[in-house]
Amino acid sequence: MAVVITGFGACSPLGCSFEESLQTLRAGTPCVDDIQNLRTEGYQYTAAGEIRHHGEVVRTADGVDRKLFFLERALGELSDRTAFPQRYRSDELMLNIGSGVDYFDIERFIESGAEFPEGMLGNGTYHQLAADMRRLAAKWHFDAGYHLFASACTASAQAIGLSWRMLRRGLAGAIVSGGADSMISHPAYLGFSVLGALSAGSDPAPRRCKPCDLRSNGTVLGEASVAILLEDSDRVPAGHEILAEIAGYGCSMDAWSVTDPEPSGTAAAEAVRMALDEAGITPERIDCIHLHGTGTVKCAPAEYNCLHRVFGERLKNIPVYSMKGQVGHMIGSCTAVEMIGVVHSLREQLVPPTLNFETPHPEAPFRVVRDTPLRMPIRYILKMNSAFGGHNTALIIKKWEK
Amino acid sequence: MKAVYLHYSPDEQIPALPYIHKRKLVKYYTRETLAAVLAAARLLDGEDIPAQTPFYYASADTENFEFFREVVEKFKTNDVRSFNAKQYLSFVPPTAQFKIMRNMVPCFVSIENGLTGDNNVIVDSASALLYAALTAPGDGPVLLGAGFLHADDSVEVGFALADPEEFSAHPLLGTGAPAIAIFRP
Repeated sequence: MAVVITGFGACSPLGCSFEESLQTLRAGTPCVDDIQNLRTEGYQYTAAGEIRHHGEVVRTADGVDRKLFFLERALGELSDRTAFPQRYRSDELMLNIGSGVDYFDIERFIESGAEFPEGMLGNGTYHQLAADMRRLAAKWHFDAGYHLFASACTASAQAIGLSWRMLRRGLAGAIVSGGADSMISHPAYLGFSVLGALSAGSDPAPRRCKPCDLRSNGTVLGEASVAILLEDSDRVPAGHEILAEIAGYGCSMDAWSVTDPEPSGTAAAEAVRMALDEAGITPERIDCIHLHGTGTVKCAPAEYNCLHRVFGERLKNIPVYSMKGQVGHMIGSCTAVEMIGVVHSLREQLVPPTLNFETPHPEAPFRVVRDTPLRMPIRYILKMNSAFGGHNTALIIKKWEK
Repeated sequence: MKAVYLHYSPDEQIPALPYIHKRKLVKYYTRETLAAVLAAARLLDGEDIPAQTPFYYASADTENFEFFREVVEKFKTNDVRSFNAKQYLSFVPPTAQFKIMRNMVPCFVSIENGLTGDNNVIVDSASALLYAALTAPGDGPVLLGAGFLHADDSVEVGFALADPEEFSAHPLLGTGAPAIAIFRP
């Protein structure tokens, strides 16, 4: 058996369906602009990758937790595309989602003059997100379990990675994994702004996030809810498209700093080696790399050092790509949305250009594809992510071959 | 399975400081972090585990809402009746983001113990924590932890060093139970 990806439901700056997301990737349209869903008076930074449909930012009413609102929509699309609720018994279906911090509409709350609520939610804590996930799992009959992952920027990578391990062990029939996170709320956006990780400067918003570029000075926050159906290839009915195979997963921890990546990339390289071992391949088999590529000052050199430990001098010739130049950084759902880019690469046999990359970084001399897609045979892609706090993840995704 | 379970009532001091090597980081700690660092230190005392030992942690806390409660109170106390980003930032300590993000507790435990192996951060769920252990890479023991910071500021933490197969028939697999239930006596 192989663990395969058979469908996406997607709401992100790329669009509100899987097909729309692929079209936006093909077009290379910038999806970052000044925030429209928040009043930003007093904000030092205002750029964001908000969820769009046909190029227009999707507005929601005040008080709506956007990550959950769009996760419901993504689950609906995934159900329509793959018929997973009909193909599996409910006790075989599991929901494993990476996410972020709880949502709280502090603006509306303060302006209402209301007293702060007392008491707990039904699950014995104040976990709004956990309570909402339980409701979603019940509504969609994920009776084998629902699990939330919260390692910041690697949350959805860890959700997908654990799902892969569980399916290989036969611990579930099919798993809807992915991520749901939105930085488009005052506490989330302002919280990150004080960490010094956001892009400053006079560039217009769509050009702020410059992965791997010498001029990079910070990332741009965004939002996405992406549901991915993972299942055993032997249980995929004839006629259902298999989009890709997950061949390996590795994970490590820097144990270095809570704010910065460990600069030598030693622990991150272990995550890559673990993923390669699990996939049963050598580094030479990797055709291209989809980077974490946040656009923060310390990201590219650390990611380069990590990958150089694994690939050596060959790294300079491996084409690389970061989606964040186009859409920004979705934090808890970044891997999930970037998996659409991985599938796009495998389907079209190309490496997309990294938007806003112009000036090579001497400390990170990657072969960044720019301006137009690079067409090439692609069988194995390495997908990298790392997180505030020191988590590193590596996924090996393979072109599906029977 | 070797395990440690600690419980601290709302006003009780958590005597973690003697066990903390990187004391400059304590300003980022919550009560859950203090208890988790202490529990891990007690569990690993006398143990010589490899740095690559897998470490999985499940966090269940009220910190976010306690944090919001404090900010809302500051708006009220200062008679500010409409939201204002500059005012908000002046009311929020710079360390707040570290206390909101759920992955910070296991990150600090990892830094204190030099743990660089496979890891996962789970919200609340015993089942997910056990599945992470059961599917851990390698054939050595795994380190499991769970924390639960209650609304009244009392805190529970549990840590265990165990062979993953010890969990293969655990009664909390597939349930909606909180992870701390694995460790409660």
